[in-house]
Amino acid sequence: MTLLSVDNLNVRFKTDEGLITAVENVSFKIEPGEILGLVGESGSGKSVTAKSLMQLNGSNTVYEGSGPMVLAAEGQTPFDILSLKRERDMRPIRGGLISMIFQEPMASFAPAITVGKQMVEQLMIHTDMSKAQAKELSIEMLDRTGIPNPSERFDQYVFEYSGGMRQRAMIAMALTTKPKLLIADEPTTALDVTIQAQVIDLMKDLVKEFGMGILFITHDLGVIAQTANRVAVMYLGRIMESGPVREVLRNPAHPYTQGLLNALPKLDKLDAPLTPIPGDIPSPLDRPSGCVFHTRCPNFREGSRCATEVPPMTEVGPDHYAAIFGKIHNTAKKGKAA
Amino acid sequence: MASSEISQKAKEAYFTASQQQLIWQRFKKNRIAMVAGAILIFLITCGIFAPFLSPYNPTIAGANKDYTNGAPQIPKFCDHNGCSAQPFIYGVKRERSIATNFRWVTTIDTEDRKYVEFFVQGWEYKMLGITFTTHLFGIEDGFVHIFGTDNTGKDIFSRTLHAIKTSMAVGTLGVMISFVMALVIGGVAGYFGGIIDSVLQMITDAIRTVPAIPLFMAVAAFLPDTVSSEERFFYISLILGLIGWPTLARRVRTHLLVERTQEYVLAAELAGARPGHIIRRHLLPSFTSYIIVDLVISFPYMVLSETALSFIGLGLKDPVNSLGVMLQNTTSADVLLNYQWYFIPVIFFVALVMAFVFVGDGLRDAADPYGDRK
Amino acid sequence: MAQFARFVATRFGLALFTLLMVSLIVFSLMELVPGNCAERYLAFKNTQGSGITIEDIAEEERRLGLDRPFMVRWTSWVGNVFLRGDFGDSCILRVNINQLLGDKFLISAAICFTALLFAYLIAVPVGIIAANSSSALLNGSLRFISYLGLALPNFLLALLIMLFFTVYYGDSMTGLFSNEFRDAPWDWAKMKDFLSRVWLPIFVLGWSATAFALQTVRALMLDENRKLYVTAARARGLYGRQLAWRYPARHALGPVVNSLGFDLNRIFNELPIVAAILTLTEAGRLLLDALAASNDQQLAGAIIFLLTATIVGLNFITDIALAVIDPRVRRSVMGGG
Repeated sequence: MTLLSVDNLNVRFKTDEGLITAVENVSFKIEPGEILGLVGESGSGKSVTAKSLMQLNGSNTVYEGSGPMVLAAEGQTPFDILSLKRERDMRPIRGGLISMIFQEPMASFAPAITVGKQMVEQLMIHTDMSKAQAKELSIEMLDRTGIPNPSERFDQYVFEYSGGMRQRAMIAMALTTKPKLLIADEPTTALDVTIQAQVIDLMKDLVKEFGMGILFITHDLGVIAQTANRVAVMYLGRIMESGPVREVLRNPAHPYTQGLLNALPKLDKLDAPLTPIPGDIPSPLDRPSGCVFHTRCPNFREGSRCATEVPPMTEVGPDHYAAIFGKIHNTAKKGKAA
Repeated sequence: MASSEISQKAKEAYFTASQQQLIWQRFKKNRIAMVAGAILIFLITCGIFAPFLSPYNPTIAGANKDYTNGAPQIPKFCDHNGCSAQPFIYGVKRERSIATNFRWVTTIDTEDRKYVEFFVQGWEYKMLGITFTTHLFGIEDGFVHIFGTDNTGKDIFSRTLHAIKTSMAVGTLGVMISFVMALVIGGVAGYFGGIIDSVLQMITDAIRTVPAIPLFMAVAAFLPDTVSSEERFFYISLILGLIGWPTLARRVRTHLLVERTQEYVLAAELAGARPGHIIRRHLLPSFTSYIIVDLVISFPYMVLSETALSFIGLGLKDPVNSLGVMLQNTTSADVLLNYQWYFIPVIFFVALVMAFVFVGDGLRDAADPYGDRK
Repeated sequence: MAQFARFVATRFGLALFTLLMVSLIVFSLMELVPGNCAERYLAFKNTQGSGITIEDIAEEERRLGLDRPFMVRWTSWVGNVFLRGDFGDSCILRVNINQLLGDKFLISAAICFTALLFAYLIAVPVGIIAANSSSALLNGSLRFISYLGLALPNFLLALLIMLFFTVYYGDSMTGLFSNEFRDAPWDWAKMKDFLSRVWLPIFVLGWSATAFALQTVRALMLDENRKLYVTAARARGLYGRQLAWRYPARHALGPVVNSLGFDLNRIFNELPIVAAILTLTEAGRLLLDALAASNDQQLAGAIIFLLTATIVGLNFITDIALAVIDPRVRRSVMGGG
């Protein structure tokens, strides 16, 4: 059974300048044990999408026009997350069914409370454990994530941890309650490359063991290629392309995905010039009409319907969809050749 | 097509706007601050043109000896004798006789209309070195006191306007003096850093611990009585400035330390800009707006301190008009019970200080949009 | 523990050093004032009818030790104050200052601390609630009250309250004691009388302190609320009051404690003026008399020094408290343990 299915998610923020669209008509599914990579530049709405799964966006957020966001955890009746209005109703989901790890582990632990206390607190909220049991389990989780001297570290503050250790502790804390879905918001971006690899391996191992689904957010296509089973590419709050990770990276069908791949440096062709995507991300205050990417699209011709019509998600390969008109794209082949 | 051209222009204007323009753009959106700004400009204008707006000399020279402790006279357009296009007040008579137990009693003669005239000739005053005698309003024969009079018959309306002027002048002078000191001391500390910075910080912090008003009182109390009122005015501003500098100096130092290590300064250096260019084009502009904001914020505190000190008799003294001087005698039960119009200037004064605080806050938010925003 | 003791000792040393600097500043200011104690006293006697000569002044200066160089006089003053707590004699009144101050300083300090306490008792919960509430009405009115607290200085507030009481009750509520108790020894009746009047100066002094503290607490809470660890805590299932008190409030506590010293400073600034209006008989009023009536620099210096010493003492205590409550400071002070 599908663990999470998001249908036509719309997220808007009420501001002084009016309603600002951050996420528009985003749909995706996550199966148990699957890692879905969500890729996009900063400002593409990937973090907002992730926070919507736990309704963590600010109080000025409007989810109007969204379809149901169904979480079907094993042994529970499926329910729509967005239908929960009160903080209290959200409680079993936040930190219980869904856990989240953040980009900056240093900033996501409270600085004046020990790591151990914060872990125990979460367990006390979501399980019937006694304090002693919770402490025991927390220390065990710290140990499992490879933190040396876990019982000593349990009583320390986050500023006493090293960078890699902080992210391990964050992962340990996220997993203590055995969530069904783990949201990882750029968990490796702030880490050194060597530690990055360790943390990714750790996460993959743990997923295998716990059988949970992961929503893995990053702007790094390299990390996605190593980690995810499937990938969704976001641009300006919309999904541009989605599909199995190898298929999407080898046969990118959307000009935006192609652009992202072309902008990557290639280790085997060091002399080849990088080709960045032209132009800047438009301000969310003036979202382009039609296909949101058309202002930067290399294939865009004056008078094309891309400027006025939103392209539908078109199947371009097995389980591989792209927001384009028509099925055949010449540049797709070129992108593959490069 | 045309609309996209316009938006292109708007974008270009946005990206090439100077910092002052950006601050103004953001400030304009803050409605409370804009209202406060309008009130502030109105009050400042009142202060600057105080002599023209005041019908009478605010000192003892312009006192109406026949109407001491007089109630406010509000100009009317209509009464039992009908209406008139020109506002009028009634004449008053003071008498004492056996019928009144020989106390002075003021009677209003409702049959004696006195019409308020505009642009009348009155007492002499100087603006920009030229002597004028024209005033906005007055009456031909007798006096009009729209805020009433005090115990010597001085017109409270005229005194209020002049008090605003004095407050502005003391505040400006005090802020200027503390600004110069802050710039020198904070500048030295922030520019040289290291040991000099530490020592200056220690001294500044020690001075900041001393409660300023008692210290101010101690210094002001020893101003000899023989100094003239102008000198006294200058000394009081000087003391205010001398006591107000540590907070400002700290801010100047912090700004300098922060700005000097900003990456855009490094970027400009790497791009080959000469130090003079960096200071002129990058450091100073990034800096002056903050300093102006700080000055506006510290202004009301200067005014408040001056008022408090004048009030207890250690600040400005008669014949200089300031709110503190005007309120000096109001604690007596007689005034509290019978002459509440003595308190009318308080309204203007609170409006002035609040307008300054709101404008200062608005400016700070506009200058530092990433700072303290909700 | 040894490390903590060392930390306390360093802080204590720093506080003493600050006090020394303050004493130097205060002492120099008192010196800058035209005329010294001898001249002033003799001038005062002169007005009483006895003629004086230059020799008399020199004689008096010798007697008071005023002919010694500045640094020597300062050292002996500081020595007396620090070692024996003795401020010397008042210039004019010729009474020992300690005697003159008596319990007046203690009463003023108690009034100020009570005002400070009330200010924070109100400001902390209200500030926290305001920071977590999205009610525009609550936030707007709090903002307005805060600004009014800034713009309506305490002495104006005191005046308006007096105006109110005089008009409606015929008693201006001034003074700390009713007439019959002014010179009576402390007993239960005097205590009750004192309490029935002391609330007014406490209220007046606490008024703008509360406004300032409210702004501080609210700004600090908003600051903390924006931080990622609060979102992270929400993502773990915390919400509402539990979240607010355990996370942002817990972390805003440090800066709030830090601001106590500044607020006490602010209250001391208002004290003499409020005292003058409400005709209280404590140190603020004494300072005013010392300055306005008799130019008594010895007494004025002593009071300013005592006020500053109280602030320095409070800062010392908050520094230590901060090290105890904030693990970041604690660990840097006491190392690993």
